[in-house]
Amino acid sequence: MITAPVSPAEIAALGRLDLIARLVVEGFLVGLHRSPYHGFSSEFAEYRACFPGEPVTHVDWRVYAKSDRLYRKVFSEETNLRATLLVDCSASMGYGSDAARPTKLAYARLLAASLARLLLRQNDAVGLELFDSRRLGSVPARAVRRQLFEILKHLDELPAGRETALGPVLHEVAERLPRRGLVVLISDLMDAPVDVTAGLRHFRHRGHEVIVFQVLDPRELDLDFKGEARFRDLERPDRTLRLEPAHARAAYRERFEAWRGEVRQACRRERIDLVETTTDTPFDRALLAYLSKRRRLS
Amino acid sequence: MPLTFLNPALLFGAAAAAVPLLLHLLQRRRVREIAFSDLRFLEEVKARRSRALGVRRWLLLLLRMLAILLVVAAAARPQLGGRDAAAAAPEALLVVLDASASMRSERDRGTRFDAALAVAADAVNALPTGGVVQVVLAGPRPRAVFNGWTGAGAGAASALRALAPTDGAVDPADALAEAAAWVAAAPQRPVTVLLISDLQAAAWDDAALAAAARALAGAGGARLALLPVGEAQVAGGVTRVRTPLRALRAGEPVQVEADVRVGHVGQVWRLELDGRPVAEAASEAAPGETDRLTFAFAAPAAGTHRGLVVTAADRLPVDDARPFLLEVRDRLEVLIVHGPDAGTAGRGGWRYWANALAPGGAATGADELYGVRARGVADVADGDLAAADVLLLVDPGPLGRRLQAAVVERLEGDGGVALFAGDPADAGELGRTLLPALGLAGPTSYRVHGSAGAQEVVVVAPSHPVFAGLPAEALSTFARATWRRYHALPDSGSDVLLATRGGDPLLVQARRARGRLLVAPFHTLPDATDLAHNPMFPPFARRLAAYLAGGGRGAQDEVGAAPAVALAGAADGGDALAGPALLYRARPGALPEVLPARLDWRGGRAYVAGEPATRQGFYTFVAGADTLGEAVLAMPAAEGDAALLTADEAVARLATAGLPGAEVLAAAPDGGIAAGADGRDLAPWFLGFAALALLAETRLSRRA
Repeated sequence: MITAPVSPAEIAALGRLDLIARLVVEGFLVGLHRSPYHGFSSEFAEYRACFPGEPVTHVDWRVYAKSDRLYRKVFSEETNLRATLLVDCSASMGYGSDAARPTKLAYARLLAASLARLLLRQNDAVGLELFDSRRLGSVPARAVRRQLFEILKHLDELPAGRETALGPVLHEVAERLPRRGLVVLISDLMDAPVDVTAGLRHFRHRGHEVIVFQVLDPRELDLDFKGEARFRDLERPDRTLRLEPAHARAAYRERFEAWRGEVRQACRRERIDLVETTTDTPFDRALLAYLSKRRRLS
Repeated sequence: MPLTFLNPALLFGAAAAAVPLLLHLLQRRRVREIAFSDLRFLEEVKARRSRALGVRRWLLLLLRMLAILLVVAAAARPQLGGRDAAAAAPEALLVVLDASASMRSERDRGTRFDAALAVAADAVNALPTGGVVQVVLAGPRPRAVFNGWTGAGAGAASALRALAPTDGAVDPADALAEAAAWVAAAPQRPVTVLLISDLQAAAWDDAALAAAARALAGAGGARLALLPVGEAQVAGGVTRVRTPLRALRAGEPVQVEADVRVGHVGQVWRLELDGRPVAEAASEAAPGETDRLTFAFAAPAAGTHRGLVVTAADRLPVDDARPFLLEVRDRLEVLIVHGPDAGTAGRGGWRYWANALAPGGAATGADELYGVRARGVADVADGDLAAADVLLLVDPGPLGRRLQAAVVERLEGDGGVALFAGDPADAGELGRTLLPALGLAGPTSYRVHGSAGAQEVVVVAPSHPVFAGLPAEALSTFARATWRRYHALPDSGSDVLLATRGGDPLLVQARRARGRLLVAPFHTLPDATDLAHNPMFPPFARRLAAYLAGGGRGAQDEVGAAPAVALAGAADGGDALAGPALLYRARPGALPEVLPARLDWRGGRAYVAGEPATRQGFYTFVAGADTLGEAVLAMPAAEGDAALLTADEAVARLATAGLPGAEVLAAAPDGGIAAGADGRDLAPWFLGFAALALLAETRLSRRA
């Protein structure tokens, strides 16, 4: 069965976060034709029916001999990975250019829920940190079954964000994480690259692996607005700017790309995986990026 | 040189330049608000570009406004060095609109009159608020279109659209004189008289213009502006139709002559009678020249026949079918008034005339053309005079006051009278009273030649209707007649038709009003002349009577005259036509137009006449169910003349007449008032600059 990628907008419309996370993760896993991310653990987990096209490496031939049916053995990974999901809840994350698309924060929330489910499914300990210019809430990392509900509960109650100040809050979080592990930052990184890099470097310094999901709205990339408009800053509502987007588009794109280039360069320098995504990109890509990282860590 | 505008009212359109400004301001006010994640980058961009963008935005706005202003200014017809635009927008505007037939000439779009109406409407629309307007329609009789000076506005302009040109001529002097009367009555000053005309050269009479100029100056003065709408063109047409100037009889050969202005080589012309073509001729003259064509045919049955000389329609259709009437008589009543039969020389000679006209006597058969009635001078009754088509006075002696007055009245109408006076005893009477009463100067002397000195006759005017068409043999036979006794008439400038070889006139045609008067200073008894024994005497007598009876005179009447017909059988002072008579004009393809007619008396004869007419065509007079007669009016021949004055020539003529400083405006092809004659039209330049401004705006907006 081949399924078309489901857009973030369609998924967001489903409403319940637990269902969404499950749908995203299960759909993602089933859609992988060749799944290199299973079977690297030595602990048997369950039997599962073979689907056409799946490799025959893990087919249990004994079961086949007895039942004349193809089953494959699925192993649960044994791990001591502690992953902490850092979700940026600043006001800038509340931006969504189109009602048909989720805001960056909604996208981040769904992504965080999906990652949490995927991590827990692989018996990793998962924690959550919510912040804007300060920490807004946290769930300590655990690998218990109930942990997913704790995380989803916090994600469901995301507080209204304020101005972004990534540097200080990242430092604060870095200090609070007790053990080395995986840090997954979901943010638009709308702060000075120097401050962001400094914060991330702090994680690296404390031995954490870091994946950064930079979530942006497509309009932030191309400034594709028609007609003159007064732009209001979401983080500082008193700041407005009157502008003809068509006149400023080229220069804006140039400046924005330069900023993104700085972010990329800083992440590369600190050996941080940077996953750039937009709110119209299916979650598969983000999940795939995580699994790649996870595989390298194992 | 000052920059002026011919249509300054259109400058109000400059308000449209405010539209981009308003849009700009509205856009500023109605700009939408967009929440955005972070303005950091936008602020950086704007800080870098805002100054340039602001300048460009205002520059774009200025360019847009400039383009609109330039287009509006171009529409207002700017001119450099032209006359003041107020020429088209005075406070009181008197439009003198040429409505002559030549204004019917077709241009590329519409007629000259259409163009005149368009520019007149433009001029009226250009009047400032509170301005007043009057329009004089200058046809054969100039008339004001409005009852009085009226406020300028859409009503005045729409009233202009209902006007139509006439088929007649215009006299600019008459038109200006009428204008002067309205200028005098103008409620406000200054007054501009705007004369819109094709400036047909034939219509401009210097003397009359001078009189009009004096009237205009005496009316308080007005600025005179001239707006020519004509353009020279060669158009063929019929300028005159000549029917035989004598009464016609059914079946006799008839020659109708037509003077035509040739439109192209080999142009074919057709003569139609009662709608049927009866003869055709082709002109051989070059285009623009005149030619005389002869149409020969047999006279139709007795009656009044409608005729047309027709050619293919061209740019002036009104002269391509010239109407005329051809009257064919079934009987002519001749009244011979004579003196006492005995006692003096020449008495009784009237019988030769009576016998020549009606050989069988007065009570002849119905097929005879002439019915002759002879009365002694003392026995003439009013009824005799009224019933007579022709009056022959043969040695009448003293006419008496009543008869003399009747003769004069007849001549002042269009009647025919011949006076034969050869009695030497009447010489005194002839020179003292009779000839002066007929407009001829006395005194006379009586010539007597012996038998050896008898004078042979010479036909001096063989083309006269009395002799026209006679073969040479007939004329030579007639020339063998001799005269021995006759009065020597004074030279009074009359046309001599017959004369002795010695040069003494024997038959003269006197010019007297509309009538036809022939005077012969001899009697017809053998002691004076052997004319009565000449074989050509009877034809001569009949032709003479036929000429006096007249014919084809309707073809001479032109539009502008009052159509009229004589009523046969109505005696002076009679009341047979008491009550209103109606006049209606019947034109092919048009519904009859009923007009009032009036009864008139001229020369003891009754006439019905209408008002001076403005349209070419046939006019039928009716009273109840009875048709009283028919008249015809044709376009004045000069109206087909292609020669037009240039604006400068017209200005010069007006200046000579005492109207210096007339201004010249020009009609634009689209009907508006364009640049003055000596102004430089800047509209194309303005439009060009507007295009450049738009181009710059497009470039700049793309860069921005």
